[in-house]
Amino acid sequence: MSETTPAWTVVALPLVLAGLAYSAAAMDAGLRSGGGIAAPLREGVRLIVQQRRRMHAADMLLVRAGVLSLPVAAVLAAAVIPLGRTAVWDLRVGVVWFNAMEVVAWASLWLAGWGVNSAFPLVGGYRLVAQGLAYELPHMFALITAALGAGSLDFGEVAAAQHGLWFAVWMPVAFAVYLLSALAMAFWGPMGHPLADDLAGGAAAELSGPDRLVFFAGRSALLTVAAAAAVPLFLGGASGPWLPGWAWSLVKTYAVLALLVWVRGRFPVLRMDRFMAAAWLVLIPAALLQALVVGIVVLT
Amino acid sequence: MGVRTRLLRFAAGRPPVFVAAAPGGTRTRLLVESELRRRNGRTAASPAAASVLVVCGRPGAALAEAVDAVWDAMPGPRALVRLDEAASRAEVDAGIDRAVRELSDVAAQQADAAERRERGPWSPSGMDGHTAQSGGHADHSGHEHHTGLAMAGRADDRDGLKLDVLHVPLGPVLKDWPAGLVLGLTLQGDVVQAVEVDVAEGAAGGVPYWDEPWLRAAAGERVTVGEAERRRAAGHLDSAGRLLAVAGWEGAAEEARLLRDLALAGEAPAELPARFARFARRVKGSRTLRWMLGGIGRIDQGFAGRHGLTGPPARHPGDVLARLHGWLDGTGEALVRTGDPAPLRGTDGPRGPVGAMPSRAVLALLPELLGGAELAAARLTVASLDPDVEQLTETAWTAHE
Amino acid sequence: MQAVAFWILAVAAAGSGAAVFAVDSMARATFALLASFLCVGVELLLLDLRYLGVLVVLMMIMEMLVMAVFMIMYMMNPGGLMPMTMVHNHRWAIGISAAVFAALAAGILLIPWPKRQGTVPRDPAFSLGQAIMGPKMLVMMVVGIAILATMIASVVLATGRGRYDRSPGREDGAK
Repeated sequence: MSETTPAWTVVALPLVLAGLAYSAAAMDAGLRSGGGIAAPLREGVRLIVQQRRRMHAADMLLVRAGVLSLPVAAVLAAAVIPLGRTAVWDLRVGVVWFNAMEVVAWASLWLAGWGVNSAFPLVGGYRLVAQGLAYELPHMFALITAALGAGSLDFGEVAAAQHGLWFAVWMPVAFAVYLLSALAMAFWGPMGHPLADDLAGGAAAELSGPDRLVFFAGRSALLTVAAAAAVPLFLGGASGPWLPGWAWSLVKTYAVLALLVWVRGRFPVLRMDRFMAAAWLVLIPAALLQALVVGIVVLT
Repeated sequence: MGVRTRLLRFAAGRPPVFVAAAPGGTRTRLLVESELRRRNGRTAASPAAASVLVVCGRPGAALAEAVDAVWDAMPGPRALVRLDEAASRAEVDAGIDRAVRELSDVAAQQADAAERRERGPWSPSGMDGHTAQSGGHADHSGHEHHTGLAMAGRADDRDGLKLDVLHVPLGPVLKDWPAGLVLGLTLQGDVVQAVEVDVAEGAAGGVPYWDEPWLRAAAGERVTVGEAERRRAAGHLDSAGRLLAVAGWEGAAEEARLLRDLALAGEAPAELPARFARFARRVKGSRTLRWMLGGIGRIDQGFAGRHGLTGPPARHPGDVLARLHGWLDGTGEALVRTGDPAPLRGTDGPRGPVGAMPSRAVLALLPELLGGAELAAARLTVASLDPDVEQLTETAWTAHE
Repeated sequence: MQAVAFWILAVAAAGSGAAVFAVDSMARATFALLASFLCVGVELLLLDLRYLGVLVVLMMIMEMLVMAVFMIMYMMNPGGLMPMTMVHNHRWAIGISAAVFAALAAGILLIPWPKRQGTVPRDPAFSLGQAIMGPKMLVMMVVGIAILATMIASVVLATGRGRYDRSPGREDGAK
């Protein structure tokens, strides 16, 4: 309940999220070019001191709205995810809220891609909308399956329902679909087509300076939130021996995050004109079947 | 002042580099890429993401204009490195070092910023070169708008819709793109409706880098088969690396480039064939890659014959995937013969018969091949054919003869 | 505190709704409308209708993006900065909307609102569902799945002839 979460958590939440997102960026730099722990800081300083590009006839209001909404959405999504056993915002329909905030990224990318008035970012922005239509339905069914298993849309109750057996174990299809859509919601790695190099960086091609910094920080934060949500949904939440609950939450989040970061660059990027068919013909039926199985188990 | 300098120096530690190559600058580009790898450096996908612009080779007039537009689009602090086609490894090294120093030079960067402010903001009327820039601002047909940009015109779509038409140039300055190639795309949404092929030449003539051993042998010089086969292997690996990068598979693309540089190095290490075999197995075994590359950019025998296509793409008819496998097989065969001391005969270069400009046929068939393709598929198709514009400059090899 | 938030959101919702007709770009109009809907969604959260509020936020973002793609595909200009207007048939439009607004506002003021009986249920969305569907719940859920299956099936049937990989001149496609 909301009265049990102290006020300082509101301040702590963005800090914890920023710390996790930073370590995701550092892991990524380390895996890809051996940049080390200071690499994201270096890049951050470089972008902060950088001038903004002048773009012709750009709609800067829309660009800024798109860029800023990425980290904002990540923080708002993180607010309902419990660290240990308490979330900053103890919302009874937290899973749906998480879903809503993650969809904000579609708008963010579309706005940033459209607003700069340049062809490649425009195509990049459209690509995320197509990607969203491909991954969102299987993703929703994965979320619903976990919620169905627990009989609740509350992250805390979903985590509590897994004592003994993690949902990842007896809902493997839903978990796999969730991991794939975690990549997609942060347009990361194999799901990074909206920002792909074949469009000279896609939706982010024209961003520079602080805009670019906020955009990519927001993307790291989204990836982190996607990893963090997997913990209460499928990995038993804060439960575990010896360590306190919050430590288990962090350890599990790091494990998922490391997996997501590692995947980048290991696979070719998925194009939506191909992936769409697979998402609708394979993933949706598979996720529905998984939901059916879980529904039957819950009823009996 | 001290803090600012220190911050800039810290930030300039490993700057992202945007590489623009001119036809004729291939050797320099390879040196730059291997030097960047040695430094754990990063390459940027767009000018906006970069701090350093490296120009490899000497661009001709049209290309120089495009390079200027790219330079203009780069936010400060920024640094420019020009390396001509004869640059040595030491010069490349020194050039990048100088760029890093320049980035943290507060006075120089402030002067650069002040000079840009004086010139005022960018506008489409003031500069035509913007259309050549990578990711260039949308260039529209139709009537002029008060901001100086024209509104998109509309045209019939083959699905029976009336959709806006966008004219987007691909190249000549674009990451993982054949140097000097310019494709004027007419897009509706993300579907290519029409393609115009153009070439932005380099200023320097000279021998096409990938065909060089065969041309030297034809001119009467003594060249061994081993040397030529090393060049062939490296050429195929360069093309394959480019295709894998366009396909978004960074890890494999980086490995292909590393193998390329190993193959070119004077004495190729003994484990190179084994390492290449592992790489080829991994690429050929990737189900995702098969799924993504299969069925696009299909060229059958008749189509190839009609356009006079020769070389590897004609030997491996089929889709983008078939051509990638063709390169990998060709590399494997070439690597076996790198020690052959026999004198080189024949004209079968990495892209087909040298001197007969096999890349000309590739450019000729692009408009028909790309019509109706999705933008990403079009880029993959171009990368899978990897035409070499260096072959097309008449002076390139006639001057040599 | 809640009342202040309510009024701020109400004014913001009405203001961004009006902005739809004032801005001169299709993209801005779309996202002004989205902002208006989001304010309404948060209002629902304030009323403790959590599920409905969150659902409005989720659905409206997705809906507006799909709409933005369609609108701009058909009526667009790159950058969206060409002057355009969302208002057609100016005089009649103003008359009709003023009349509709007056009727609705009058309804709010004139209806004898019932007094609250009992307490707020723990989960209003659940109670609402029970009240509307009651014993027909199973039927409604099956119908819901049937509608979804129909949607997916129709999309699958429609993809038989895709948009890609066909040359403009070739009807059958290059595949």
